[in-house]
Amino acid sequence: MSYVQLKNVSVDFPMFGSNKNLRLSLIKGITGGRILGSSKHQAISVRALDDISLELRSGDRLGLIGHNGAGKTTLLRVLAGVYAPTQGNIIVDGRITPLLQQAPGLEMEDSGYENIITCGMLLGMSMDEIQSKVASIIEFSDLGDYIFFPIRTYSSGMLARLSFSIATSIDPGILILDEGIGAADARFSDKAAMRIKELVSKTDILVLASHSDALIESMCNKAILMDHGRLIDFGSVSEITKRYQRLLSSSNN
Amino acid sequence: MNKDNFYSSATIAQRTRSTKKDFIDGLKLWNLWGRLCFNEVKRRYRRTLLGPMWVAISLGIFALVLSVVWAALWKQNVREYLPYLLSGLIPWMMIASSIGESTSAFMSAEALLKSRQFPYTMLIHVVIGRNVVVFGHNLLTFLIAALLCSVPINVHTLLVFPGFLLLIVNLSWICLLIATLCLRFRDFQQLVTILLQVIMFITPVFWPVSQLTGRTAIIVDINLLYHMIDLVRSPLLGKPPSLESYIVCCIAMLLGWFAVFKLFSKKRHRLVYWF
Repeated sequence: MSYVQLKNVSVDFPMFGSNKNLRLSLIKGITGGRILGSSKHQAISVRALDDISLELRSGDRLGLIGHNGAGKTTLLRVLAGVYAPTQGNIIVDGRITPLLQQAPGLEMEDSGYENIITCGMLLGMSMDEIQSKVASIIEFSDLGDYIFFPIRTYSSGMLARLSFSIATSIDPGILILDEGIGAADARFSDKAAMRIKELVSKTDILVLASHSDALIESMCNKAILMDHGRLIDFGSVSEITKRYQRLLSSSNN
Repeated sequence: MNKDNFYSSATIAQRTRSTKKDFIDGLKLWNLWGRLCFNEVKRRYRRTLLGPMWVAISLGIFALVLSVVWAALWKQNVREYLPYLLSGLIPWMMIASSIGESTSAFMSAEALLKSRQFPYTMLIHVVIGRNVVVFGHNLLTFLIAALLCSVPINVHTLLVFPGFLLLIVNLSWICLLIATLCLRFRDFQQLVTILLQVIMFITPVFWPVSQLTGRTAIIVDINLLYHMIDLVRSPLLGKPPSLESYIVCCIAMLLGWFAVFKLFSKKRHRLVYWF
């Protein structure tokens, strides 16, 4: 049984070296976050998450919807334990398995096989766990004997398949998933979708961030809409995607 | 409920706990950093016959030429000066390049540190580990020189092991501190590079300590890096390191780790905000 609770979580990013107006206005233009001035150090910070509270239980499949800079990735990183909230707190009961980066620490000079082991360890797997999965990772990546060649000799498609296979071989607990995972070459994508589905079916709780309504609709049973670091709506996937579409069209007008 | 799974910015107790966890997890992941070091060395050997041994060879040639010239300049015996130079230069190179590499140790791991909770100390172990391997290679050069110059081997030689350990423990906190400061203050990276060059000249690596007398000797006495080097150099030359070096290094170890622990307890949860 897993459980996640966020209570009034806010995250402020300090903006180092952003002296005053010009950069400040640039930031305002680029990001969706609100800019806060703190009088203490005269430092500027951007509020990336603003007073987020939510609760997740076993079986929840939560989709995060929102435009660029709405705070989706930041929220995923807070859940992954990367960012300690500036205010508020989080309670996590269960094992968090973040998949925010496909394959950390890929070394071009090392063989695919060596990279499977290194990446697996960087993703938090134990040596035994990796050993037991290596065969299936190689099989799924479809690389054959290439697995023993340095990965600099791989095509970009082969590299994508390898890193995808490694990332998705993780034993998910509370799965924190960024939409970037799953980008692979065309022939591979059906298989990839299957594998992601399979991974998700094994998880207790899923949190997925995406721009794509279709992806969220196919995988989630709940959704939240985020804008400028705030949680502006929470509900069923269809409600939230509709509301998101309205938000998009209103901002376009 | 597992206390490790409660994150907030608030409590000091929790920050201290997460710092302890970082320090312990960093060590526990020895098979990961060991692997990263090993792969790095393997990569250096790849497609070359001698790999990292080239560094040792170039060091040998450099030291030999320098010894001949400097021994003549300072009217010293080459057979004494060459082992002295190498036994100081090799640990110095390890210290200097560990410190140099640690300036970017956290910065270069941005993607990893932003994708999951990860012990920062492990990244420092990687830096030091690979420099220890290079040290091992370079030590061969010293051993050859020691054989040629008939450096004595005696009981004091065994002191090289505890000395090296104490050196590494001190180097670890220095690197951890520098990596942290460089992440927050980007100017430190340049500053450290400059400082290392300066310190190389005021540390008795190239010149014998005995050359420095009177009041200027204080730049050696208070130089932690000199004492760290001495812990390894003296045993390599078959002499016991000075008691002073042991005392300075032990005190520095305690104070240094205490300070770094305090700093981490205060700021560890903020480090990832500094990218």
